[in-house]
Amino acid sequence: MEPSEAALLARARRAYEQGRLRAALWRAAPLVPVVAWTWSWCRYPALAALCGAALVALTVAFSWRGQVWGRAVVPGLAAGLAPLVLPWLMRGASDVCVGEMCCSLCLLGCVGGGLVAGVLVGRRAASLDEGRGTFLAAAGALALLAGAPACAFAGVMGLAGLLLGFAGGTAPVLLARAPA
Amino acid sequence: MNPAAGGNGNAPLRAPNARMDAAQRRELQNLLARLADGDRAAFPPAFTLLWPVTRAFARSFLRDEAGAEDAAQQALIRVFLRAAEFDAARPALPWVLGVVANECRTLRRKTQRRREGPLEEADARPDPHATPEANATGRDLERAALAALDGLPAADVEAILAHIGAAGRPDLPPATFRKRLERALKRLRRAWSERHGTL
Repeated sequence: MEPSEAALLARARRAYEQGRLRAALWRAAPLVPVVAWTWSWCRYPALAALCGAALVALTVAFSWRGQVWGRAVVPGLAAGLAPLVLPWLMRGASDVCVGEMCCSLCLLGCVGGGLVAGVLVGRRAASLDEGRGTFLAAAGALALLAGAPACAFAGVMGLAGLLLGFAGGTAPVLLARAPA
Repeated sequence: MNPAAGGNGNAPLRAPNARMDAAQRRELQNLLARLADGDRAAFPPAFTLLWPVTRAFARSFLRDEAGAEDAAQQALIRVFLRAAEFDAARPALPWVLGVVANECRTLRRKTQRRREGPLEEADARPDPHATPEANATGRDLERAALAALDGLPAADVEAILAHIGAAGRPDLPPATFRKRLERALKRLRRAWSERHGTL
């Protein structure tokens, strides 16, 4: 390869990476108003800001990186809607009691939202031939970060419930579809 | 690199060949889809496949060796800048050639604007090694320029002649003279365009 072509190759490579970064930033842009909306009502605004910043940064990073990481962005964010919306809708509800056991409806929303997110991400990951772990890690991180501010209404228990629900939703789907 | 497409940048202009066979088109489709997905391993083969095509297309579009080389480089950079936006459901070659054609059009417009730019940039000195034909053409151009000057106001003619050194500079402050010259050149350009269609 001639020196001029080598220089052109390097310029083209830089342009390619710039283009990917630009596309990734555009892809993450719609998240900014969502993060601001979350921050406006979250019980712990600092937590909402932290989770929101991480959500936007990871969306940009995964989209820029591409391949399995990039393909996990949309399913991860879509799955994150369940733990974001369910606890938010139930935040004002009173406790639910079954016999002598009482539990906050918001906490149930966190577990349920996490479960739905886990099933959605797990099903999608299970359908992949390769890169399941990567997909699960990327989509799971986005779904959990999206849901965390809403689950903070139920405190630490809400966040733990979200994690538990997500693990509970993911594991059976992945185990059922794991290759023999 | 594909030698049929032109070798190095100083090679003489050859018949352009922006054509690709079916296998190359499929390969290009596959490589651009992989690039859009973020597969960096597809970059070197995509560059190797695209550069000759881009260069050949720019040459056929612009018919100017140096301009085509610049346009091809800019276009290739543009293709890779937009590779992340490529939709794998669409055919790759028309997409690439569309980007290249757009870049070539932009460069051609810029070149035309430069040609229509201020006369100060033009080199008006006579060439001592000019052929008789070139001398005859020069005389024709001179006559045409004088005819265009003929229709201008006296102040404009005075300013232009002073500018090219054919007459003494009028007794004006430099800023006023520059302004008058600018207006005169503008009118001259318009007059020339009306007579000959282009500058």
